[in-house]
Amino acid sequence: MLGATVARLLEDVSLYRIFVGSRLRSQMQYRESFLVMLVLGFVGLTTEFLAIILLFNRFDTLIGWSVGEVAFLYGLASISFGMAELFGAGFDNFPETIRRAEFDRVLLRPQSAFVQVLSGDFQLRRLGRILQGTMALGFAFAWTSVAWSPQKLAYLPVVVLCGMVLYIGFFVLGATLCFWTVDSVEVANIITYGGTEFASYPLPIYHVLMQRFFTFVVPLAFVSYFPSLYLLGRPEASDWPQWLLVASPLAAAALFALVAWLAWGFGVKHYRSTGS
Amino acid sequence: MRLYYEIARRSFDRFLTYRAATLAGTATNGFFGLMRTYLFIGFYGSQGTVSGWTEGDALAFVWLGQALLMPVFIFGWYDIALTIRSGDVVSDLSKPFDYYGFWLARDAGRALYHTLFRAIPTFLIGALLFRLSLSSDPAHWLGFLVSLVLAVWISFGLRFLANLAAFWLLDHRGAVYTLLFANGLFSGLLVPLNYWPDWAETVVRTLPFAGMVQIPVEIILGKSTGADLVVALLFQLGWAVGLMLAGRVVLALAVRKVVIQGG
Repeated sequence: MLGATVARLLEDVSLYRIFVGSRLRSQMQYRESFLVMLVLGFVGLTTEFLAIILLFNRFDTLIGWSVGEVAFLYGLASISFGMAELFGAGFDNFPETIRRAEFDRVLLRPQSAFVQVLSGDFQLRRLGRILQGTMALGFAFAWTSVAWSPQKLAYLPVVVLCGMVLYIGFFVLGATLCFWTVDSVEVANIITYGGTEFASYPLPIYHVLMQRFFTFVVPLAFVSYFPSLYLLGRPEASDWPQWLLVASPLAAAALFALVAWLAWGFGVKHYRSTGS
Repeated sequence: MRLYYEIARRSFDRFLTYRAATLAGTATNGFFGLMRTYLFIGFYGSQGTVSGWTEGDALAFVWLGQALLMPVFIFGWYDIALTIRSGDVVSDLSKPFDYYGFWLARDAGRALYHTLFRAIPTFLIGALLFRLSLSSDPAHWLGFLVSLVLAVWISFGLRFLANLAAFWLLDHRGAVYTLLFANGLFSGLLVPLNYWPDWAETVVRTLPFAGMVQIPVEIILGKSTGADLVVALLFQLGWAVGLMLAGRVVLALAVRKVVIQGG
């Protein structure tokens, strides 16, 4: 039973690699175009980070957070979201798939619909956001005097991965709604793009309703603010038990992945094509 | 003139059909407005005035910025580039109207729609929820309206030029993409120019982008008065006309280059 599950999972992974590989080869046919868009994406997103630096040029702190600490939050959110965009964008662009009834074709193939959609819009030029977030993290390391213990360094990629899973979960839920609405669901954009901006600044600056929304409904604070309190050694960390701060990203990602997975399965069962 | 009025009206009407998108877009602008509001409240803390602006000024800027970004269209705009790519541009160029005027009229219709149905509702959300410092002088509001029209014209001039790049570049996205980010940064939308380091502010204020957000906002905040207000409007007018002339020159060069498939 377990063996069969693992075998199916491995098959899905290799399928994902085949799909992504073929997309990569087709994108590399336009090498100059690819490079230009990658560089432009990187430079363009740098304006976001520049905005933070410009504001800290005139304001010394943001409710007690330094520019390096905000750069850390920003970098963390950018890398997580960038990875989700890179690996799961097929779900972000799902409305188009539904509108053109292309999902019919996906269902006809004797392979996992989830993997097919997941790999459906893999574009390597989206590396720009990840590079940009990494640069911001580099600055954060340089500008803060955090003691980076081996535990913290090992924990950082875990937080990033949990963030990625959470964002892909948002994409999947947004896509699932399309089974009923057909049209794109703009609210999903508020949560993904808006959520990334939200997670780039310390949680307490926001209105308490927004704080609760992004903690309990859309648990973004658990992959950004709370683990950052622990990682940066912020004084607010003493308000919470350490195990809670450390475990919260894993719990939030696991729970959200489960919800998204169940919703997706329910949606696929209820799919009615737009084709006549 | 009648022709261009009809083109603008058709463009306005075309946007009227997208009601759900308008509602969703306003919600998005409102949400981003909220986030940026709390960001500035957090930064100001108990400080009174920073770089010449109070917290109320900063909040007014946030909501004016969210309101203006649709009429002034800070986003990627590929309408002309796509016709160049598809070849439809040839039929547009051979129609008996002024090509620049045709697209400007369409953009005017779009801008009016976005002002009425996106900018005003978005601004009202902010004005109802927060205390925004706006000028109470009617002359400043009148100046703002003129400034807004000029801002749209400048924005159109830049987008027109970036789109014409598609005549020379096979990938039509690069130039528009570059413009998109320059728009956000140098217009003051991301960070108002008065918060920039003095040397950078001096440089950026000479660019056309300053006329897209920073200048209209300063006028309605009551920051530029009397002769300064007139100079600000003339600055915008100068760039709008300059970009129009540049657009026409580049268009003339492009038309000479056009080779129509099949003869």
